[in-house]
Amino acid sequence: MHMKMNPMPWRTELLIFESIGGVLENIYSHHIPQLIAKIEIVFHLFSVNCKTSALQTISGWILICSWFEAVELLLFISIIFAIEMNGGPGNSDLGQLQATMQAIEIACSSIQINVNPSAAEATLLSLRQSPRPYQACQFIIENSQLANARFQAAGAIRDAAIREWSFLSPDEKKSLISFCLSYVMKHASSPDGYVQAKISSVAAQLLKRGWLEFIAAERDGFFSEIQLAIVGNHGRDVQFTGINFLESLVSEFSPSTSTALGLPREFHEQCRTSLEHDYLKKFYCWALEAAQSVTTAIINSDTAVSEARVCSTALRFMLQVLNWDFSNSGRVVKNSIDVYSFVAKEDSNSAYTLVQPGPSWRDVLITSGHIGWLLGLYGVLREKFSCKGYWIDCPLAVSARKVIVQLCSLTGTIFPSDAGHSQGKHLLQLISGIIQWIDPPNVIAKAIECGRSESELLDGCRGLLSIAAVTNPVSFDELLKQIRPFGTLSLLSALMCEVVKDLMIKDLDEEPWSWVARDILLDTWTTLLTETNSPGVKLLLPPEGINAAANLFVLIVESELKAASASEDKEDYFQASVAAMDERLSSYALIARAAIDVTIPFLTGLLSERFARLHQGSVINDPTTTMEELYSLLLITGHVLADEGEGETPLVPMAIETRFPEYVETDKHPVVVLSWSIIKFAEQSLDPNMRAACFSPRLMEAIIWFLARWSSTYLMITGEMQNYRNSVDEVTLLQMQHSRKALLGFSAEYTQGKMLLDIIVRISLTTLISYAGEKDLQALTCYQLLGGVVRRKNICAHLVTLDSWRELAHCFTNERVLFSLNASHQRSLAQTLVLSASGIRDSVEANKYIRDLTSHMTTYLNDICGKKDIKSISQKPDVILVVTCLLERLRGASSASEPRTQKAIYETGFSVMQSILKFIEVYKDESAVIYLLLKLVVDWVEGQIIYLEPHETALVIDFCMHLLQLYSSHNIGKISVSVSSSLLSEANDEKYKDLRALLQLLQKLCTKDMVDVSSATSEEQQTSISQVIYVGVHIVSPLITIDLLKYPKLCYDYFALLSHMLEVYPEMIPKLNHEAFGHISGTLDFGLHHQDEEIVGMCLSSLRALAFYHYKERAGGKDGLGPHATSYKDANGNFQDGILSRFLRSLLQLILFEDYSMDLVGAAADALFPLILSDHGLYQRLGNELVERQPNSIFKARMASALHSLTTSDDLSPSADRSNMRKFRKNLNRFLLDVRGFLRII
Amino acid sequence: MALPNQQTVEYPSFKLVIVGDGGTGKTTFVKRHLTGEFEKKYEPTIGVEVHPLDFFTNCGKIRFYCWDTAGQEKFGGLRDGYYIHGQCAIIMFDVTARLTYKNVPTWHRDLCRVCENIPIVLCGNKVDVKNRQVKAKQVTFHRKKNLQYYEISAKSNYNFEKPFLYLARKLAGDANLHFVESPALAPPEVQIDIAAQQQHEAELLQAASQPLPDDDDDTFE
Repeated sequence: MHMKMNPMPWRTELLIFESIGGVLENIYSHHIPQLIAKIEIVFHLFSVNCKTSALQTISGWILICSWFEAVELLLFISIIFAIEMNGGPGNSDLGQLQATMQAIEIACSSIQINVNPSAAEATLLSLRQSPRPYQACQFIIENSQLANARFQAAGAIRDAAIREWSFLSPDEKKSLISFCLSYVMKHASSPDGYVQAKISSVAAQLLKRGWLEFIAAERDGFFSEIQLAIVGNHGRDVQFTGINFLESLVSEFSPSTSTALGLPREFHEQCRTSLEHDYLKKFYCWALEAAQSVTTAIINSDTAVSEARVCSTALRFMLQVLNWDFSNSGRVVKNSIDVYSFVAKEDSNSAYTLVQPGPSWRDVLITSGHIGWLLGLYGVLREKFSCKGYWIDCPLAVSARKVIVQLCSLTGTIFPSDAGHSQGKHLLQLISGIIQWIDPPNVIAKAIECGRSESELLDGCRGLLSIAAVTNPVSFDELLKQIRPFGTLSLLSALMCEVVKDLMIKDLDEEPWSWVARDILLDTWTTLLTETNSPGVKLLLPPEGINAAANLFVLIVESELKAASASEDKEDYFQASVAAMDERLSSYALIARAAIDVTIPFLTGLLSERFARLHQGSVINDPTTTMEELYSLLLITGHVLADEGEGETPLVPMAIETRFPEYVETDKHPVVVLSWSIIKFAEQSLDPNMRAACFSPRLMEAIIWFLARWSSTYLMITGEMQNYRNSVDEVTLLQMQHSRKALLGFSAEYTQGKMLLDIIVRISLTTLISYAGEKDLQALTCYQLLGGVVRRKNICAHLVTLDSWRELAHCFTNERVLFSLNASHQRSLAQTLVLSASGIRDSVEANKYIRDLTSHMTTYLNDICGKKDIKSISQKPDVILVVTCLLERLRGASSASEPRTQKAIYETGFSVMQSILKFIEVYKDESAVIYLLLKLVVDWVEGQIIYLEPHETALVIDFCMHLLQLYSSHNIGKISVSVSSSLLSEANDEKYKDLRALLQLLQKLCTKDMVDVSSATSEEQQTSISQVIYVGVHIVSPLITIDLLKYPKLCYDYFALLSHMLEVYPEMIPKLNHEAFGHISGTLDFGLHHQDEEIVGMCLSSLRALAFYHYKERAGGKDGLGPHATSYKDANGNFQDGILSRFLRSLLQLILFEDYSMDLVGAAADALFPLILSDHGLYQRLGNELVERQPNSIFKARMASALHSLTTSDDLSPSADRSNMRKFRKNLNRFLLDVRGFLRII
Repeated sequence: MALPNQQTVEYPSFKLVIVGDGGTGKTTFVKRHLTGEFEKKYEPTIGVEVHPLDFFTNCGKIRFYCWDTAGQEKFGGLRDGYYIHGQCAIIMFDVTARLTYKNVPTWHRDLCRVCENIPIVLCGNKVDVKNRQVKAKQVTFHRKKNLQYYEISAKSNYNFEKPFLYLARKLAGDANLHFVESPALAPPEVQIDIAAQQQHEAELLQAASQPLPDDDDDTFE
């Protein structure tokens, strides 16, 4: 352990420290109780002011105690010292200061090696929390040899000063800032960079804290020192330190990085505006001058290390300023209450940021010529160090390039409105510099292969991306033509070619440079092409650009094919990597669509070549390579032809609709030719021999995926062409419409659509039956392909007439092989089959179809339940397996309830009710089956509940009651049986899943009273449902602990139920027993302060329901929430508020002082208004308190007037009707806008 | 950098600081590596917890002392005081909670003030969740600051070891360093118990690298 060897004035203390050495060996035995006893003695001695004897006692112990105890004791002493030392300014003699310093040093050392961290932490925190620790901290900063200790002392100054700011005198404030600033300047050459940075940041934070109270001259006083430092008169280190301070300061003033100061957000906003308006540009110029002042030294010498450091720091600072979120950039601030938290630069999906500082920066950034200087400096150094490879990655080079790239993103009113002339000039200048990093691409790529760093090339690509973001395809392309014989698009394409070539020979797992470059360049293409891909935009790529895109696409496909044929093992199917691949393929598709008339025939050619190869070679050669290539081609083709629908029916891509006007015959349309060739190929998989030879499971995956994607865009679609009226003339438009008709004529309902659908169904059946165990393939078939097909009603109508569909249904009920499908696939298949019944016109027939589908499930389940020896039979593995499968299928069928088929599904469920209860009994120890049973009931109730007639409802309710009681009787006390902690947590896990299912069940039951399409009157329903909910809440709520609410999903379900329940059955609340009610209000308290916005929202609507019910009942002269709402004396005789008053308080606290999303204000208003009306007296008291609590008369007046308008503005009257609720929402919004600025503490 | 209350090791070891907003999964991520368990519950970390994590590379064993720091302000303890002498870092955010990404710049700034020029990995956790709020495309911070970015999922082990591999490579200055399987178990010459223990540990390690079955079967689409 590091120990400082200063002469110690205090003999006893010396004794203590000398003792440590002797006890180091005795590390492992320590006796906590004895230690505590000892500490108590010491404390006593201290309190009677026998410090010397206390310390002697301790030093005696240290000699005999263990090392751990010794540390413990020393830390204790250190705390005492810290407290002592803070007795007052008169009390700080040198000895005490040193003692404090040593205590802190010991604590710092033990934190660092993680010995006794909690005690050490307590010591350090005690320093931070002690009143006025400034003298001690400054002493430590100036004297400690231990960098850690200086760091902690600086942190303590910061914490204390921010806390005590309003009690410090103006001189004290300024002297603290000066102390920090002059310390860092004085120690500018210190090797402990982190201490310097910390102290610098403390100065920055304190300066910001005082920003609005210091007059301009005072601020300028500090800054003139800084400027002097930055000018360079005091040497390079000081210059460096000065710029570093500015960096710290600007980051404190920037909303995305500012540190909390315990102040209203208005304050931060004012500081930011003030800095931007009065200083930011000045700072930028200082840094620029500093960088320029060292230029000559850097260029002329090889050893100008500290000059290079100054220059790169200055450039880094300039970059920071260019990243500032400029407020006059013309962006609209979305939500005015949330001014401060609106920091996202670009909220869209864009991969770039724009820099829009406004016209006042024109002189510095555009006309000052500093871009020329910067490009020149970089160019000269690049030349000078051309033989030294490392230079490209040195800080100076990196910062310079970043600034250059960032300058490419300049846009907006900083340029005069001269039709883009100035911006064009600006970009031309930049691209003339950047071009050297990326051109000629092949030479540079080669150099990188030979060991040159790739960072320059990557930055060059980033520069192109930035330029793409501020230009359109035509002006982007023109830019380079002014200095080169080719356009920027050609360069972009050439670069991409090199990158793709490199990718072909690299192991992608290693994420080579070309991987990164490809992503940036693809982003550039996407940025350029996205515009051209949206309707109504006239701008297309220039012809050269189209050629470039076509060539590039050819190369991309080639590289993908090469990668495919080389790949041995499957790509990882994880969602995120699939998404990443999807994103990449979508970018490829954009490029392909830019030259669609070339790329579609190209793809057709490649595919047919491989189809043929597979046919010929299937006998002799190994077809694996060809299959892999096809896999890849099918994915690419699918992306080019169709977009992801994300649940909706996707539109035919614009390029495909508009770029084939000359094709008006269906069988000649290139897209039809391509699609048909793939479908014809896929159809061959139906032949067993072909299947065995040519259709690997993986190839089938691609086929199924393609069919799913293709069919959702093209199969039997109706609907109009997108609107291109503004962009083309009438004749072309007419041609496009003809061509579109020809295209869709291929797969329309009235043409070959039905035949294509039949092929799709037969292929699906094949993948389910003939590819046993291929989970991914079957998942694609069930969810993507079949699931997508039945989503469209017009397709269902054809589906149910197909023999192949009937065969699928027949296999589903009879074929053993389909019982070996993954359980969730069986569920999905059942759902799909049932859903298709919507295509059967006659409802009797539809219901019969469903009964036929489900009878095998109910018959078996009921059979087995009827057996005498069910208890033993049910435990056999094969029986469990079949039961599980059938329950899954039932779940699937249940979740497909639709009005016309509801009857049949009701009957299906009804017929197995008794069996389900029986199963709950016999499988009580098979948690997986129990969970499945609960989920089945949840899904069935959800699908049925709104349709049920009164007598049916009664049956269902009765059944659910039974289920709940049975479940709780099996599960009470089950948890405590577990002994080991891992068993316990496992049991907890199961309990957690079951509970979620039960909560969902109760919630579904609740919906009956929200939506009811049966013929019953609402009165009849309500009583029965509220009864089961009432019982349910009593059963479930004791099982839900705050601990279980830490499981995010359970928490969500619980509050969803609670808010639902309170909304619909508030009358149940007064009947709840005290325990259950207390439980509910306790969880509401927990939920109101939850991190998740949705949960807070649900708690707010729960509160609204409670308060509103009470208010309404009271107005009608009734009891409302009765005893729950009135104040009472608790067991200890203390006076307790009723629930509504308690929530009025906590809700006000929440909306005024705490953090929450502004989207919740509406819900909060809906809860607050009835709460205020229910206890107006309390509200007025709280309002008065709020006014009184304001620190000065201005805020008091502001608060009072805001409160007044909250309840009176817009003629609000004290009645919770619809129009008043609406007005109150508006008022509350305005109120928060008014007061949160000065109330809110950040 | 050895810790006295943990056994010292003779192979290279590094202090790794893990920071990020509360609830982003820092503790879960570390625990997943330590024991293979996946913690579904959310319990905020108080102050800091230090865990040693060993990895086997082609150049021998290395150890990261992971300083798993509190994300929630109110439990922060010494905050940046824990970063001192950090040799590498992970900044974690949650792709299902936008705010946690918005706070990344502040975490990065605080970290860089204390630890100059250390390798830092930005991790977007919970990519297994179906409706993410921060799409991969929207993550641009690492480009500005030259950090390495990985999408990870502590739950399904996706890119589980990538952050550690990246940091190990940077720290070793060897771009070709890679992780290898745990070395073959020593022959059971001393005591059978130790062999059993090692066997158990090896199984544990293997279990830790398996993805968890997805218990969320409620959504298929």
